[in-house]
Amino acid sequence: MSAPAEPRPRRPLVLAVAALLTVAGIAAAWWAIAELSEKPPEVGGLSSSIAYEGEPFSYVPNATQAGFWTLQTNASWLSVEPTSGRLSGTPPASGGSYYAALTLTNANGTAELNLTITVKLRLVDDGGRELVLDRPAERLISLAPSNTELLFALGVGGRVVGTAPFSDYPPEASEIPVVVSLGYLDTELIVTLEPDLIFAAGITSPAQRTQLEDLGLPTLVLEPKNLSGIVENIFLAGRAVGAQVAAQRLAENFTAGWENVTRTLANVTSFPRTFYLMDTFGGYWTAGSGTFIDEFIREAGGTNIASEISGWFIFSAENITASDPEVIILAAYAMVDETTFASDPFWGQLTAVKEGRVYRITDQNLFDRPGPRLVMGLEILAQWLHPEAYAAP
Amino acid sequence: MEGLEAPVGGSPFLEEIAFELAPGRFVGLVGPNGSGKTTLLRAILGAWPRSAGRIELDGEALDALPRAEVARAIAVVPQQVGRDFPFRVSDFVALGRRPYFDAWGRTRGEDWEAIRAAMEEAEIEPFAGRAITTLSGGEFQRVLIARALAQTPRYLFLDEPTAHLDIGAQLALLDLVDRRRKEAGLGVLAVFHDLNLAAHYCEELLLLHRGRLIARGTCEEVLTPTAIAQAYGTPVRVRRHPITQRPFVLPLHGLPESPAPGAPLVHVIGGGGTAASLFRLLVGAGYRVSTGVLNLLDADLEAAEALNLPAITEAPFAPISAEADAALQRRLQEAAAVIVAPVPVGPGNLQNLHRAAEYAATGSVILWEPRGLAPLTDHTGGAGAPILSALRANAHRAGSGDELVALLQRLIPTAAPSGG
Amino acid sequence: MPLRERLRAIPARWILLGLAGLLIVVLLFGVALGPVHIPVATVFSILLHHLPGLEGLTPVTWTSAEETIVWTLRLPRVLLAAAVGGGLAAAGVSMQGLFKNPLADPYIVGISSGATLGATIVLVAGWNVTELAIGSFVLELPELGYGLMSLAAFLAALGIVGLVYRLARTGTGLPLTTLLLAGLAMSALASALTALVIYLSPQQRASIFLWLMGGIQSSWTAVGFVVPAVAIGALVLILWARDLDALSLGDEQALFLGVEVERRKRHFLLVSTLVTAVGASFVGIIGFVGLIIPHMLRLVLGPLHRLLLPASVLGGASFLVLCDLIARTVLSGVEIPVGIITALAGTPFFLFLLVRSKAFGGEFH
Repeated sequence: MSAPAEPRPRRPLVLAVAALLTVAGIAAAWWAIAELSEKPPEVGGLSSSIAYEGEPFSYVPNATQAGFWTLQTNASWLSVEPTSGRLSGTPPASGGSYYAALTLTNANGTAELNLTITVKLRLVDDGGRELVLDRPAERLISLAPSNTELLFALGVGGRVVGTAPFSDYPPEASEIPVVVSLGYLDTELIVTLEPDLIFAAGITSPAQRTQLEDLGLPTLVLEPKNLSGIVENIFLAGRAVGAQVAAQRLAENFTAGWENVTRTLANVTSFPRTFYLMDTFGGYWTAGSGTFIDEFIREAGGTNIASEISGWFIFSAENITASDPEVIILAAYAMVDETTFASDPFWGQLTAVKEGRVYRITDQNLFDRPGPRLVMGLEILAQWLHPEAYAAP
Repeated sequence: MEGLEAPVGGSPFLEEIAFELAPGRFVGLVGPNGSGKTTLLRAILGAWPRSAGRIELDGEALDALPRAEVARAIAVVPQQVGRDFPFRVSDFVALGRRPYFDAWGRTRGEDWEAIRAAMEEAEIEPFAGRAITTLSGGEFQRVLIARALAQTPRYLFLDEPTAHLDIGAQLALLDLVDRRRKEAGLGVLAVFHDLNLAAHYCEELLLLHRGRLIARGTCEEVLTPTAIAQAYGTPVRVRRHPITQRPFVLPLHGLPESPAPGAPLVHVIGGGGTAASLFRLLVGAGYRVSTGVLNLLDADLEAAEALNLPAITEAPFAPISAEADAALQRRLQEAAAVIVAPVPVGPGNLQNLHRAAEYAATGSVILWEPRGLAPLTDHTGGAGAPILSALRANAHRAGSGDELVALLQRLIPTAAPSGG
Repeated sequence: MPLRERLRAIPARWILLGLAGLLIVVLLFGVALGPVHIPVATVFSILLHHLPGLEGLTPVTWTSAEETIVWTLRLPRVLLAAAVGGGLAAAGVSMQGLFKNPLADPYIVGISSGATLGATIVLVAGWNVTELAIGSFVLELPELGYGLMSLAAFLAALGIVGLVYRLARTGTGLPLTTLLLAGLAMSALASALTALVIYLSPQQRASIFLWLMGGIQSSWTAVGFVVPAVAIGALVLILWARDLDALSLGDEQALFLGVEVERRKRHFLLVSTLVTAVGASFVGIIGFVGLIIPHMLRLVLGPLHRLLLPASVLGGASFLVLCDLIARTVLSGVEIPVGIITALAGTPFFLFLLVRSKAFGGEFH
């Protein structure tokens, strides 16, 4: 039986509940949608960085999300790894600034990072000191004749604005103003010349080095210990002045000359006992192991009778007599008169004198200056020690 | 003319000085500090510049002779010199032979003999091997003499040789020199600062004052109070040494100020040294003092004369004459007081005591009885007993200087101005 | 000090004989030892072989190198060292007696700075310079090569001393204080000039430094000059030994003992200077020998110069030969300038003496 009118007031309650549920449901859906959709990515990192000429450069940006990286830059050497955003590359030359714009793209959007990269030149000299220049040096000062020779050989002689005394090779070098007088640096002159780089050397005295430090100007110390060191110096100097090509060529010439000697002497069987006399003050000064002369004698196929002791020292006349050198090399400035050797009671009994194999160096710079011409000294010495290998076939 | 003749002059310190030194003579050079004695010695030998004068050694000019020859003739014993280097005594004495060495410097037999003899004479052989730095002042002075003797000189110069020595050593040293002088006929010229030593040994003296020779002659001639006062500025008395009879210089120490002319007169009766100490005390207290009657040669008279006190005298060993007695009486009338010293009383001086006893009746007499002096004793065999007892009865007594002065001040109304 | 008393009791001739014996032993050591090892028997044989008349005594069993080493290198060197050492010691004794100061050394009147100046000038001008031109005046220089330096050093040393003497001399005499001060002043002047010359030519700095440190050459020429000079000089000084005793007592006492004081002072100065300058011109400036040896021997033997002078000559000779031996053997193959060794050896001795004398209450002589 159907009942007559039932409570109609029940329906508004249901409606209200339904409406409420609907509203709640819509709100929930809205909230869910909002939650499930991502923010755009963000990127961070340094806005400027330094790269060094010839050295691999690497840079990794920070990002909040993963994505796809792209690069826009005017640095041809720079590339980006798409997934990590790592920038890498090796700048070939210093002195410039580049921009790099990194873009990260993903589903949530894009982010950009702008970066300025400055390329500098990092040099490490023979003293282990590190020097950073903005660009290869233009205005140069050399504090040793050997450095002057090297710079001219690299073709940048025109850029040398100040030099050391006795810089006489090549002849043009004598025209350059000298910045050292009586053992002291002319600091005012040096500062006036506004050098970009100063080439010091082994002969730069401690007093002068202190002066250089006080000046605060960029300084490179070239102090090679052996022939290989000269080759390294060539490259170092080449980089420092932006003359890498010339440096390459120069190094090849040097090495070629060196190898020439080695080759010529390849079949030599005897290594004559050699005595090098530098000077006679207080006794007979000679060069022991660790010196250039010692290396020369070895490379030229001889045996240095003084090689058991290191460095430069006064060699006892008794040891000289006992070693009985077969060849005697006299430095250009050694204060002895070799014409009297034959009749001298000490010199006359040495084999070298008896066989007439006493040689005096004419151009001492070929033996003393640690520069590119050193290889010429080596050749001369080899000819003296092994004339038979150099005789015309 | 044998000997050293030395007119020396012209240097800023010395004026014309001329003297001679003959062999065997002992000449003394005396004078106050700075008078130029040492300078003179040096000037003679050429160690001090001389601008005038010619010195002759045995007839030859000294300046022209080589130094070695001069050293062979004249040896110098300096004042104590610095002993920087520890030479052995025998080596040091041996240096005295240096003037005799030839070019090779070898020591000959006669050199060794001279050295040995010199050391023996100077009695330094016991320490011949010691270093000179280890010797006493006296021993080293003898070494210096030995060195000079080793030079076998004809003349010996000594420069204040006794300066650092005690009195025994002084005499020993000079006796040695004197002995050598007599034995070897040395001519000795010695600088003395002690006048009595000089008087004892020298036959001739040169007195210098400010570079000038103010007296030259025998000791008696030179050592007069006037000359000494002029040179040294000190009042002295010259006596005779009891043994040598040479002049003996007594410096007058502690001369008190002379009393004022109006001071009271105190007469002292004494003798034989009993009153001597009173004189100075009384004069120092401001009194005028007189004494007597005393025989000449009496010790108290000597003291009175030293102080210029009026004294009534009598001939030596003679009893008091009538004139002397009269003089004493007159003096006593003037005197404000009389002091009697404990002189032994005998017939010769009883009269003095008699007058004193007389004076005691009306005036003040004080018996001076210091400890250490025997009191007034009677040696007249009794004749003086009444006089002495009368004296003792009426006299005051004083046993010390202070007591005496106090007593006098009480007794004599007009007190003395300057005390003590 | 009982040792001293005992030593002084020994007669002089035994002491001198002992020292002479020591010198001979040291000389033999010097010839037998060196950087190159040569058996002692060989050394003796070589020496004997060179004595005239004894050549045939021993068969030749040594190499020519060994012979050169012993006869040409070592023997002249030790002889030179002995001569220079003896000369310096003798000159040192003279100077100490003359100035009555145990701290005087032979160089005190300017010899070292004078010799250095002379050597420096030649060194800088070039050792093979053959003529000296001052304005239009040209002086031909003898071709001595290396010897030119020695000659210049010798002349310059004498020149400086001569100047000092002229400065110090008064009308009547030679006051020692003035002499000393003049010597110091001229030394300073010569040193300043030397420093100036060196400063203007940096190349030679090391060479001069080495010359200053002293080095004894192996040169029979040098021996030929130095040994006779020192022998004669030392002999003369010994002959005048007693005058030195007298002078050490004071000018006045010496005068009274018959010494021609001013003449003798001049003589001593001259002979000491010559002996020192001859040595210095060949071997440079070797210090301490002239100061230490006389001082040590005086402390032990006493101040009597008749004994002290010859003893110093012998002692100084032995000392320098030993120092030279050390200088050339201590670092095998390398030679150290001998002046360094004498200073290293001398300083501790000096300090030892100083302490000893203070402990004994300042008996410094």
